[in-house]
Amino acid sequence: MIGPTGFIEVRDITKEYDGIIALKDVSLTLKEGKITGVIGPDGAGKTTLLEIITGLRLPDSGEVLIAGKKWTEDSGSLKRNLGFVPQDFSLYSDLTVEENLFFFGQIYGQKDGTLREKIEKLLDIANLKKARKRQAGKLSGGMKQKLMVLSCLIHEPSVLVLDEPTRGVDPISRTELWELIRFIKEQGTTVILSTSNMEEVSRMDEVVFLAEGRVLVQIEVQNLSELFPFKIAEIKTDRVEDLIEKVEKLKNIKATHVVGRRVRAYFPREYEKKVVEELSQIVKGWYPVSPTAEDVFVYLTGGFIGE
Amino acid sequence: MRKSKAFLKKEFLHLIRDPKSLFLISLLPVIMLLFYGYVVRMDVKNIKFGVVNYDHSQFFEGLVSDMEASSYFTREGEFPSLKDCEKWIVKGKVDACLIIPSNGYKKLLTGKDTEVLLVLDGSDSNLATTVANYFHAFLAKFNSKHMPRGPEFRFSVVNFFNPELKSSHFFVPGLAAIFLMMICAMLTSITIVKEKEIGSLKLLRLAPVSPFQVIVVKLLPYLFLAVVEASLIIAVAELWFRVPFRGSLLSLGVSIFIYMFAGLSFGVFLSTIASSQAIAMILSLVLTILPSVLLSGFIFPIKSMPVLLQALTYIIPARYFLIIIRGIMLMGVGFKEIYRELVFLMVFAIFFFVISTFRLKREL
Repeated sequence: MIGPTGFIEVRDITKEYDGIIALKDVSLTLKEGKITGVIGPDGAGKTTLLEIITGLRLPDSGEVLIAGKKWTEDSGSLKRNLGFVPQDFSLYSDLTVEENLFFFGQIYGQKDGTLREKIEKLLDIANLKKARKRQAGKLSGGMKQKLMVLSCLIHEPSVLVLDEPTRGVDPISRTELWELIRFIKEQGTTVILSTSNMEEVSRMDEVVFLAEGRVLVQIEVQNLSELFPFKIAEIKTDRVEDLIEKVEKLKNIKATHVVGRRVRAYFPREYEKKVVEELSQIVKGWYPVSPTAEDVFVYLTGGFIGE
Repeated sequence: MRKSKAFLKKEFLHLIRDPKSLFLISLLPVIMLLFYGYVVRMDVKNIKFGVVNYDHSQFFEGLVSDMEASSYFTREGEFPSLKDCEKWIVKGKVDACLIIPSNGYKKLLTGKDTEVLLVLDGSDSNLATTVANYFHAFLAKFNSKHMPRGPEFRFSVVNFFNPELKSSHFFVPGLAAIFLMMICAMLTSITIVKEKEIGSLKLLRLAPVSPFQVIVVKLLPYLFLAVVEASLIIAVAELWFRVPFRGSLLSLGVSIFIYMFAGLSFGVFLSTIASSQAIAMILSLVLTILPSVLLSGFIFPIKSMPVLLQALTYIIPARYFLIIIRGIMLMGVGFKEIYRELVFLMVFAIFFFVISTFRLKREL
C-alpha cells in the first residue's frame, strides 16, 4: 500500500510541447479511495496530466506527490503502487488473456500460486472467464479494455489511472467497465480517469474540468449544479422551430437548446418567477431540469450548449 | 484534368513537407554513387609479400626490388623458411610468399629454365587469383627486360588452404558471416520498437523492471534461435558445399556465439532508435548487408579502398568474423590466431548492449 493517506497532489504543473501549452499551472488535490474524473474535450491536456501523475512524463515545472512521495525520489515504491491503463490497447495481441495477466503479474514479482488465484478472481469479476484462452488481439473492444484494466490491477495498486477507458466502447461494455471501476473503488483503490464523455460524470465522485491546459474547476459531482447560476426549463413540442422562436423572444431567456423534440430554455435563477409567468403564456406545460455536466462545462468555458 | 491536377498538387505538397524523403530522393543516389565508386574496385594495390630466398644472388634481389618498385607489391619481410612465411599468411600479415630456390641464378646462367614458387592464401580465392595474374604480368615484363632471348624464367603457384581455388570455399564462409549478422540484427531490431508501437512499453515503464533486465530477456531467446540458425548454416556449408572444416568446433562455436551477440546487440540498438517496426527492419537490412558486403573485404579488397573507407572497415563486425570463420574452417587456426578479432567483436557487442540499455533507461 502507498500509505495511510494515499492522496495525490499536483502542484503548479506546466508542460509545453514545441511551444504549445499542454498544461498551465495545474494544481489539484485528489482524495484517497474516490473516483476522480478528469473531464475535457480532446486536446484539453487530459492525457498529459495523467501521464505526468503516473511518472510517464516529466513536467516542465511543478511536481506531483503521491502520498507525499515524489517520482524523482521514490519511483520504485510508486511504480509498485500504481496502475495505468493507457488510451489505446497496449497488451500483447498474440498472448491469451491468461498469458497477458500472468506476464504482468510476474513482472510485478507475484508468485505463481497467488497469481493463479488472483487471475481467477479478476476474470470472474470482469466476466472474462470464458475468454481466458483467447488471444488478446481477437477480443472485442470492450473485452480488450476490461483486460487492460485487469492487467493493471493484478499487482493490487493503491492508485489506478485510466486514460479514456470507455472511448470507442459499446454501451453494454461501457456499463460493465463502470461496474468494474466501481468494484475497484470499493476495494479502497483511488481511481483517476479521464473522459470526454460528460454523461459519465454521474458515475464519479469528483470531477476536474480541464480546458486548454487549465483547470476550470475541481468539485464533487453532487455539488456540480451549484456552479451553474441558471435554471433550465424543458418543454416538449412537435413544432420545435416555432417554439424556439417564441421562447427566444422572451425577455429573460438567456439561451435555448434543442434535444430531440424538447426545447431547453436557460434563464437566471433570480428571474424564475417572471420566466414562469412568461412561459405559461406561450406553452401549456414545462418542467424544470437539473443542469448536466455538459451544461456546467460549457458555461465555465464561457457559453451555453448550442451557442 | 482537374482531378489529375489536384492529385499532382497533393503529391508535391507531400514531398515538400517531408524533407527527409526529399533528401533521400535527391541526394542519396549521388552519395551512393560516390561511395560505391570508391568501394567497388577489383584491382588490388599494395599486395604484401614475404620472401624466402634460398639463392641470395643479386639477380633475385633485383627481382624483388623491381617488384617493390611497381605500385602493386610491397615487401613485408624476409623469412628463413616457408613455414615462417606461412605463419604470416595465417595471421593475414602477407598475401603471398615468394620462394626463390637455391642455385636459381646459376641455372639461369647455364641457360636452364628456372622456376620460383609463389605461395598464396587460397582462403581468399579472389585475391589469390588476382595476385597470381599480377605476378604473371610482372614476370613477363621482367623477362622481356632482363632475358629477352635467354632461358625462360617461370613461376608456379601453390594455394594454401584451398589448393583448387574453389569459389565455394571462399564464398560460403563469407556469405555465412553476412547472413548471420543480418539475421541477428533483424531478429532483435523489432523487439523494443514493437513494444513502443503497441504501447506496452508504457506499461513496462511503470513496472518495477530495469532496462538491463528487459534487454537481457529480449536477447536470450533470439541468441538461442541465432545459434540454431548458425549451426544450420555451418552444417549446410560443410555437408552440402563441402567447405573443409580444419579447426576446432569449440573455437568456431565460441566465435559464432560472440558474433551473434554482437549482431543481436546491434539489432536491439536499432530497435531503440527506430520509430516503427518497418523502419527498424529497413535499418537492420541496410546497416548490416551493405557494410558487410562492401566493407568487410568479402568481395572488394580492403587494401584497394581509400584510407577513409579502410578506416571505416574496422567497425564492421563481418570484417573480423570473415577472418575468424575462414581461419577456423579453411586454415584450421585456433584461439591464439583469432583472439584479437574476438576481442573486437566482444567490444562491439558490449558497446551496443550498454548503449541500448542507456537508451532504454531513458524510455523506461
